[in-house]
Amino acid sequence: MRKRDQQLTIIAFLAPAVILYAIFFLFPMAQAFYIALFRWRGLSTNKEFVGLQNFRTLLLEDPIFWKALSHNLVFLGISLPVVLIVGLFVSYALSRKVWGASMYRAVYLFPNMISVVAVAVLWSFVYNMQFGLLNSFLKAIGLERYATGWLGEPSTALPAVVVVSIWYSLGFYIVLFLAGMQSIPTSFYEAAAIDGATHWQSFRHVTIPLLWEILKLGVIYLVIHTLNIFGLVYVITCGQCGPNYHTETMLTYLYRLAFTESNYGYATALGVVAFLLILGFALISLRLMKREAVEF
Amino acid sequence: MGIKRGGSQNKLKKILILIPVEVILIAYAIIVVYPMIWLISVSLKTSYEIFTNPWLPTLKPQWQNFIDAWQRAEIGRCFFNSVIVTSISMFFILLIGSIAAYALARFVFRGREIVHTAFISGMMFPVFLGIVPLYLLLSRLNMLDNYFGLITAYVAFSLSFTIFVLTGFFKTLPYELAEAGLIDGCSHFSVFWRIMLPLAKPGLITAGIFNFFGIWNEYPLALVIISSNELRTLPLGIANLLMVEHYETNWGVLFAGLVIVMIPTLIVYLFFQRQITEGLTAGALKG
Repeated sequence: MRKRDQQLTIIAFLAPAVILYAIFFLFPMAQAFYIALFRWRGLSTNKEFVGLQNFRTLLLEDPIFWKALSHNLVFLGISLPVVLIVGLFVSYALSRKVWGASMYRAVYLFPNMISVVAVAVLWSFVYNMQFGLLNSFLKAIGLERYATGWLGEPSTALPAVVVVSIWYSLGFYIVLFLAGMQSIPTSFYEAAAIDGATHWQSFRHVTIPLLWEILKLGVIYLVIHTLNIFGLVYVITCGQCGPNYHTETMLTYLYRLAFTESNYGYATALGVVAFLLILGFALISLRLMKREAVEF
Repeated sequence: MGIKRGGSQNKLKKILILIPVEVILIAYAIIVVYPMIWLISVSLKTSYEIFTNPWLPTLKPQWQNFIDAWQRAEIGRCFFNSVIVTSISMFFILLIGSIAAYALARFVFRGREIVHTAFISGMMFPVFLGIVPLYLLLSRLNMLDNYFGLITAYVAFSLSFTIFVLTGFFKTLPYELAEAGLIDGCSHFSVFWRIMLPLAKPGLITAGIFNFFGIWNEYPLALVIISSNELRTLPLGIANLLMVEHYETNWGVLFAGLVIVMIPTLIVYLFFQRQITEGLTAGALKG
């Protein structure tokens, strides 16, 4: 009796979550791999099985896809060194008890809490040609000749968006690295200091090896974040992704394919490719950073 | 003597290192904070003044910008929509998520590992992988462009993370209390509701905070699911205002709208700053 009672309880407790999750999360995720095999335009039954044709077209005949992917890689290529160098420098400084450390940490993390849309709108005005913060700053320090329409110029549009993305997310990595550093026992640093190690040496030989697992995690987050970028680019360039696709990324392209062109099958194939790329990049970075974990 | 001199030299060296470090930290803080202060200052200016005086604070604050944003630009309505969608979603996420997490943490039964893994592995899938199938499904169920569809999607997409956090919390609780309750004749549900849930409060707060930020700020799902003006959430409203105001050039109103979007975020952040930094890193450090 007691046993049956318990079984009923388990079922009742799990049912709402399992049902919602299966229908509205797992099912669409799994279905993506199936829909990607169809040429499917519009909501009608205009749906034709084409096998791997969508993937072939996407990878072999679609220059926009490659352009978009290369922009995602530019994102990753700029963000990775900046986050590692600036992020590690700042978090190391904060971990060594500089004045005001907890206040700095709170300030740096705040952008990460704002809506990506609000960040995008705010920065589209920092970059505004006529009254933007950036151009008026350049004017004020006598560098007016460099003032430009940052988001309209093909050469500056993408880097400008990357800067916003870093401004938005760097605080998260600082908090992550800082938490890792704070779990390193201070006795390690004291021992290094007694041996006469400089700050750089104790950073290089104490912090980095002991932080390795956290660094790995940070790199994975960054890979996922930069390959998944959407809202920032979409809003900041008003959905047009700049002149001649200059800021097009995989997901802005996917959104346009699906929801303005109703090209559902093809857009979903792009979704699957993007997912596999994220998995692949994450595994590669794990592999590259493989190293015996240091226990302490 | 020699040791003492070395000590004061070290101190001097320390200060010489610290000064440039502090300067860099302050410079970075200014880069983070200044755009937001600028935003507030511009939100109180007329469009004309934004062009003629983009830098300095205004002498004649235009509070009218906030009234216009709230009423004419319909930020008030978006705010209302965001409050409804966020609060209802959070209520169901925490309710449904916590009873499921409790069952997964507390009872041993066949299939437990499968269900648990299915929930946790959901954190791997990016929103965009399933976005087209979800859109097609919601359209077939007549759940596009209404609160109900958006809330359902938010609940379903948040369960992975919520169950991950809460299962961890329930596992740390002492179940002797639950046994005692059962012996005293409580049902499983009232044991959960009256004894275990209050004990899991820190976990509920963590899950609640992260779901608040996630849903209050959410953009892609809302963009796909909501299409009518009346149902827009704040991120949709602000993005739309940007595209419309580009033509109408009423910048002060747009900036006032942005300030309105950020206020609840800022308040929650100030209140829960410690839990947020701990929550962000707890999973990472334990994992």
